[in-house]
Amino acid sequence: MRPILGIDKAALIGFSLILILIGVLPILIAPPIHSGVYPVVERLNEAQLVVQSSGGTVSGAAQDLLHTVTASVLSWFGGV
Amino acid sequence: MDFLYLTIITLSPILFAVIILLLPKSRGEDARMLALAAMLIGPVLSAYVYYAYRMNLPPDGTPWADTLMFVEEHGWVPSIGLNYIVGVDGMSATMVLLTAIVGLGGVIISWSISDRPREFFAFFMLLVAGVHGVFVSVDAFLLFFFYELAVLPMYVLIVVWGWKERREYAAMKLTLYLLIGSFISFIAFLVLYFTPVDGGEALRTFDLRIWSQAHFPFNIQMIWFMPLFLGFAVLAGLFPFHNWSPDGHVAAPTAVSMIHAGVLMKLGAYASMRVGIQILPEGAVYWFPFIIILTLINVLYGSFIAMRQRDMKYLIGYSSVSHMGLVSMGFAALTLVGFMGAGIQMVSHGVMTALFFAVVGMIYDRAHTRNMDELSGMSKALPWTVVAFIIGGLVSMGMPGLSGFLAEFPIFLGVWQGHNLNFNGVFGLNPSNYYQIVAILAILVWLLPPLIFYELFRRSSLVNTTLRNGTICDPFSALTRRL
Repeated sequence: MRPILGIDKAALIGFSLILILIGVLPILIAPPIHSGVYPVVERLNEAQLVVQSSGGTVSGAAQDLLHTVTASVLSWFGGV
Repeated sequence: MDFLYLTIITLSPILFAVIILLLPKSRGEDARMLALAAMLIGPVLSAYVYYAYRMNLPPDGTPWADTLMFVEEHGWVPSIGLNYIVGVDGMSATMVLLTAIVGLGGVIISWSISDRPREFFAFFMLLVAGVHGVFVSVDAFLLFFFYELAVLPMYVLIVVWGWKERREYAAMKLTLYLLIGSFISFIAFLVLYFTPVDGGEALRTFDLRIWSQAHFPFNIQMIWFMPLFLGFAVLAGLFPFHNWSPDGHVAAPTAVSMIHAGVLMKLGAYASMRVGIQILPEGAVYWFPFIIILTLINVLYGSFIAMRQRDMKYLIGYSSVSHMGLVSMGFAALTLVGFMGAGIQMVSHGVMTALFFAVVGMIYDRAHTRNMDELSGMSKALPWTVVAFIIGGLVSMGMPGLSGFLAEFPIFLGVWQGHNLNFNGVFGLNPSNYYQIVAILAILVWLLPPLIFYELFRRSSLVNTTLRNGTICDPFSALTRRL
């Protein structure tokens, strides 16, 4: 069977080392990811308060949208 | 004028693709060298970008638009709000570095490709450019443009250089799933473009910095979050839209499988977070109690199907579906810990699955089979691949001290902490019952990866006699046979 090339070994070692390094030294990767996801979680925390107080449903939202669209279309035709 | 790091990282592969295609047919060897040169630029520049970001992290509470660094902004079609805006935050800087590393690995693994190397490397460069582009885009239209650029070369690479028995079916299936998903997301983009915000005018821009500070009406968020999120989540392999993924993995050539599972699936998760969750957070909060159930199915279903596979690529493909379910689960937990876990899982799984596919590619090139029933004695014939596969397997099962543990444990912790979710209203479940279910599922998920790799380990001479006799694993083996 044809042996593994040196360049293939380099790739295997490189990928394996990254997996071990991240596991042993989380500080290499965790702070940038924290800073990347923090604004998203902040928006979600604000949104949770809005959703809890709104009590809205998808069917209600769909009906509202339907009313809005119908009114827009009718007004475009010069009605209502 | 500042050095255009992100533009060079993103567009240099396209330039190299054109140069490679202009080479005479007889100079296939030069195509390899040019591809390697193009893929060396990426890791060097993206490592600098990552390091610079790492050294200048913005404090918590900074609005997302102000966390961006290396921002470049040029008008494209300004009259309709289309602009070339690129920049990176902590998440995207990490993903750009991951893409560069996996891209370089892909070129190295494809070094011996002999069938039309010029065209192969040119399309591979386009694929890498598309993936880089999505991660650095700060404009929704630009993101969509690069998203399509990443999907279309996949079709050609699979159809021309893929596994003969499945390539046309797999390529068509993958392309249809992803194009339909992105089309649905694009409709949602247009809705956001034309929607009046805060009782005023429509934004008429695709600038994600402006979208991220706007408050879209609650009704719009409820209706359009799902199309926007699911359109991108198709690429992340979310159940029940995951079906294109294992076939795509199997049919693709090794380097393309590495990019496909290593970074392309993360591209779907990243876009669904950056555009779906961040822009429509109220829609996300409303729908995530439902989506988290899909992610649980993702994790368990992917693992169970993986256990039944005899083809190593299918096995890794389905375990990828399972692992990507964990990423979506981390998002759906709606907690900082869950998001952290999801982010780390994207990186960990990206490297791990690239390693897996590299190993399988090396074995297939030499043994001409991927069927586990026909493979044995690999530890003597190809010891490097076996050691690498075991390291990947340990990461996959969440072994402490490796990246998989660092990713999966926070995800489960995040789901556990997500007590703000109102599951009573959605499923009629008592939250404590739900926690028990999650705990059991968590234990199962931790146990399943070793089962997935059990058959492979059993054939390896590296494992001890106890495992080979099957005294430990036989009950699980019986379970998998029943499924």
